[in-house]
Amino acid sequence: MKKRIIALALVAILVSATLIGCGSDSGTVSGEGTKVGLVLAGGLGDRSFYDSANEGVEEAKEKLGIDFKVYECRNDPSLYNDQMVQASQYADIVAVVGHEFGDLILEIPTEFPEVHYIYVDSEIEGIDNVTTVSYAENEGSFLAGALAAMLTTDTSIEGMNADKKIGMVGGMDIPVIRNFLVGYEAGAKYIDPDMEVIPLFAEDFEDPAKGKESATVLYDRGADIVFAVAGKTGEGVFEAAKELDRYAIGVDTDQRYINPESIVASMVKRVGKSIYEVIEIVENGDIEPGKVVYYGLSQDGVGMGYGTDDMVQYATEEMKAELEDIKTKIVSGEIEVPAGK
Amino acid sequence: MKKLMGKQRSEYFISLFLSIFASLLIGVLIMVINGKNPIVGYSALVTGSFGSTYNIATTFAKTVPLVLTGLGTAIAFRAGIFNVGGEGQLYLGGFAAAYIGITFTKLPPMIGIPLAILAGAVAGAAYGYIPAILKVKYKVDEVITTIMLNTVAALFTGYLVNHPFATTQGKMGATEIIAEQYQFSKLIKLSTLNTSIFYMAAIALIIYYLMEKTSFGYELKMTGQNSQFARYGGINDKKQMIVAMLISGGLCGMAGVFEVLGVHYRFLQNISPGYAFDGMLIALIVKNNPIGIILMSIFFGALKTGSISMENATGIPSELVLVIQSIIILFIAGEAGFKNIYKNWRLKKSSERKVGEENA
Amino acid sequence: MGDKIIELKNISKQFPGVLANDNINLEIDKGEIHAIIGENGAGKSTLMNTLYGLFEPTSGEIYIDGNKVRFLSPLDAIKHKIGMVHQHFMLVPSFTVAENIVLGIEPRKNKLFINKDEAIKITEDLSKTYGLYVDPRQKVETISVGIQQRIEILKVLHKGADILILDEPTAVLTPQETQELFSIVRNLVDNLGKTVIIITHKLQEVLQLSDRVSVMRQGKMIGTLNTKEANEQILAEMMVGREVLFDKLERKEVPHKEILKVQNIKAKDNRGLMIIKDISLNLKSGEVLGIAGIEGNGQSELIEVLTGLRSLEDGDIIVNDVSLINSTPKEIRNASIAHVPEDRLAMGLSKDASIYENILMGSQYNEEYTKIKIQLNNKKIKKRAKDLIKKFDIRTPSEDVLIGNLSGGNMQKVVIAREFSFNTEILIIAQPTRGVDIGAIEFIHEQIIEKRNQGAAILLVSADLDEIFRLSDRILTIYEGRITGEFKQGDITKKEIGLYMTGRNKSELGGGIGEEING
Repeated sequence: MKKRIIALALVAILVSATLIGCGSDSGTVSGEGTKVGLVLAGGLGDRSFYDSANEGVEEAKEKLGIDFKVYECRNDPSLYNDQMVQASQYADIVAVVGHEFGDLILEIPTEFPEVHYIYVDSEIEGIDNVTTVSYAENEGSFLAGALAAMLTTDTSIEGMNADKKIGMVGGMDIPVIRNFLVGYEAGAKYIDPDMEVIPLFAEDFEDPAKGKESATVLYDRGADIVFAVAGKTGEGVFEAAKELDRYAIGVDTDQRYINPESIVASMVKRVGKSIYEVIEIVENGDIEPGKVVYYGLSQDGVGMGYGTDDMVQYATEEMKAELEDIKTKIVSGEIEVPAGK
Repeated sequence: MKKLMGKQRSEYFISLFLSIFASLLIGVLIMVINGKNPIVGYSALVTGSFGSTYNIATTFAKTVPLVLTGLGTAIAFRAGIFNVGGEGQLYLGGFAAAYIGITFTKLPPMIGIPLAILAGAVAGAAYGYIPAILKVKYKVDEVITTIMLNTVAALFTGYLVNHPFATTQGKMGATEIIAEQYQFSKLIKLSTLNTSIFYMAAIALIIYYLMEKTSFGYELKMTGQNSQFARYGGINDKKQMIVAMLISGGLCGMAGVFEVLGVHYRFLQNISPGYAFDGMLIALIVKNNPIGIILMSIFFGALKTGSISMENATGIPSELVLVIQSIIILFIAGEAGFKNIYKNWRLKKSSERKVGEENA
Repeated sequence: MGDKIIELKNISKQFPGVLANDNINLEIDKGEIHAIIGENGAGKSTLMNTLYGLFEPTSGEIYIDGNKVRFLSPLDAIKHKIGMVHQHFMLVPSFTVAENIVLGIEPRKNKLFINKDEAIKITEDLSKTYGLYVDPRQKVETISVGIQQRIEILKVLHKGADILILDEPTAVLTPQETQELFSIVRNLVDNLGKTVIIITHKLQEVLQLSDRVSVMRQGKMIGTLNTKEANEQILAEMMVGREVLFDKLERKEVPHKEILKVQNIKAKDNRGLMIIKDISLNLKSGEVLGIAGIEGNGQSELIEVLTGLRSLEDGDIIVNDVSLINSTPKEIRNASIAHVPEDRLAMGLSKDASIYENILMGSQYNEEYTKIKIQLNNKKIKKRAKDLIKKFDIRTPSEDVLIGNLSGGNMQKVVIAREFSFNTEILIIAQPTRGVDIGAIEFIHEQIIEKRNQGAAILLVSADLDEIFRLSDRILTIYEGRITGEFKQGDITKKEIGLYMTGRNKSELGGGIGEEING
């Protein structure tokens, strides 16, 4: 018994010692500016969704002189309520990121009428102090699908086969992610109607191991390019791509820098930009109560990221030009992208 | 009770407080090394956990699952069976309650709530029965089976909430919201503290009575201390172990029930951030004493609540609290060793003094 | 003789809470057999472990051949040619005799591999030199305790010891094996120039074997005598510190009535081997039936079968005309059988529980000690514990003290107090005084005889023949799972019974067992 206790305690210490290593610096306190609280269901460091949101408040700090703090829940459901309440007690504007807050966003804002809430990835209307931000993921993904379709049959690139198959790893089978999938599929079929799109859901946004597993399955089934729409889970997709010499498309931020050899491009969803812009509108007092703000290709809320020039470019100039052309057509309404939410 | 506070007890209390004190000191050290002010840090920790009605309520909200899983592990430990599977039992219990809450939406609360609690307890107990029977009948080490069954339960409920029981909003790792009459009302505005704390209090009282006052509790304790002695004395030690494991699983299952009915109103994938493991640590620290479990759960609840406020206010990572908790455990586990070191040191001192006197 | 080979000066050893050795002075002469006697806890083993380098004394000095030495580990002691044979043998059961003897200083081939032939040769040479026959190729697990002890002695001699410390060497031996050991020891001393220190608490052995004897009591050295000048009475008084009265157990004539009948039972041991091959016996009220045998011949299993802790393969157990086959331990207790187990810490007690909790065992659902059937009535439980503590003279500050903090004798008294207080018709008592000091032995023996005089039927199993002879009205010998003889008190000597215990009765005594059992 005693030995077991000691063993367990040692394990606990080791685990916590590794955790403490990744403790974050959550913002800074200075000045008298507007206070912004950023509440994340997960944690910083996903190099994707949450980091993108963080860039938004960083930018607001720089350009608008606000102060901010980040409230990470690290996917602990027991903290969702507490962190949102704490952020509300601290801040004038609270940006809430994560579908996990779907229940709480209906409750807590009514208790803090003087605080303004920005809730991304949602289309809730009618709560005066809540502005929701909805993205046209389908539009951006249309471009990603088109690019994937162009590349996947190009056997001159090492590791590509002639199969007309591309894949996607989704975090969870929820409306937002469906919206990615629908656009991705439509984009691929726009290039080649025979293109087959195979989706898999990892059922987790935080677990690279599951991402790797799912991607491996897709590569085995003949898809050479896999679109990773899964937050931190996506890192597993990139790993699988690297190990199996296949290709991936990143999401949310321009993720090419993680591994330019295997990540051909990214579908950026500018969560940070939208948060920054909504903060700016709130600051200026121009916000309309209880409305949804839409970010599509025309608002530059979604788009493609090709990394920096020093990276190897799989997307040729012609391809980029064609994608630019498709983008113009989508903005003008010539191409109608189906929606998944 | 007071008479029980013999020498052993007071020695234990001293070493417990020393352990807590020492671990807090190590916390100071960690903060200083990281360039943080420990006074600011700890005062943020204290105000974060007890500074306002909201903070106190949040602390107590965190206490509920800890008390239940703590008592659950303790009762199994008492009988000499090492239930590390509380987490899995919690998941299944929570899911069972959610299932009742989303399926029998027409039942009046008078029937529905007891049914949901019972379903959760039965699910947890049934899940505890598997490792118990494997241990008793086939001598399979329960530590290994319970740990593995934790993973099975987490994955199984993960499957359930993403597929057959996914919400219509999408497969987001959650069931539908339970019917309104199942939802416990919150006690303090904004905090998740809800009426489940009253259920918890009643359950804790019953378990305390069972463990400390009854013939059954006595037989449990003897079985755990020396099963051969128990068998010799006419106790059916195998039955005791199984019953203990059923109660243990039931309690952990109920911890899951109250998370669903009281906090989230639905079952979530990853609903527990490791409550049962914390409960196990609590049971270990207080050596399975039911009253100690309640007090230590409040302490752990306060640490958890306070650590988040501390992190938000000062930037000191909340994981510091994990280090503090672990160090307490380590000290308690090494208690006997430390006591001996201390005794030897005192002996040496006194004999040196004697020698000194003789030489003088 | 006459040269001081070892001198211990003012040795003290302090353990947490106990002064195990208090300013001890002791001189050992070269070429003598020096016995050290004392009750359990008198400090004999501590003193010898200090001499062997296992403990460092808190204060005091050790001289070997007149030179001051300091032993930090047994290795230092071995360098000074001191070797120790412990009470519990430290042999590797799966190794051969030769491998055990050379263990730690193995002869090697190519510096890496054990040279087995060389090991066997070493063993054979040792055997010859010291006149201790062993088979070097046999595995230790297959050989008897007496031979294992020889191996231990050879091991120590192989390491070059001139001074041998033997810790309770006869505790596990039969009378015959004891005699063999004594002649071996005599030979080592008289013909081979060794010096032997023997730790024991058996007075007769001291008188028979040793040249000088030192008596310890409560950590102090009481005195050293030439054995010729000592007798049992003097030594016992020195050990206990007061006059000891033996053999004053008063037996009353009580009417006998057959209560327990065991008919042709068979049972398996933990390894699944048939250890009880065929045992029948009967037990009457008002008698003590002693079972004499070397340990491991089925006594432990016999008791477990009788108390429901082991299942029967065949046969029947009948108490007051009711069969107890397939009864649980609880049912057997209710059928009026109490049990003092052979190993009190393994089975008879929980050392982490208090005295009163240990006394409660078996009565936890008794109406007298519960309220509303399920709740314990602590007041009454503690009252009973207090009464028993007083009646059985258990030395403790209170009934709340944990069993683990009591001495062996007091622990045993707790077990006996509990089991005797059930007032059962049948008492099954195993090794009632093992590891118990003389004062407590006397007390326990008196209690057993008192129970007998009150009409209880008592089955006594003991490895201590003196105890069997002192208490029993009737004695059965057991060997390899069978009863080999039955005797009335006074009809047989210890020496004779030793033969029955080793299964040699048929050939060497010639008498039919059948006659004796029926007689």
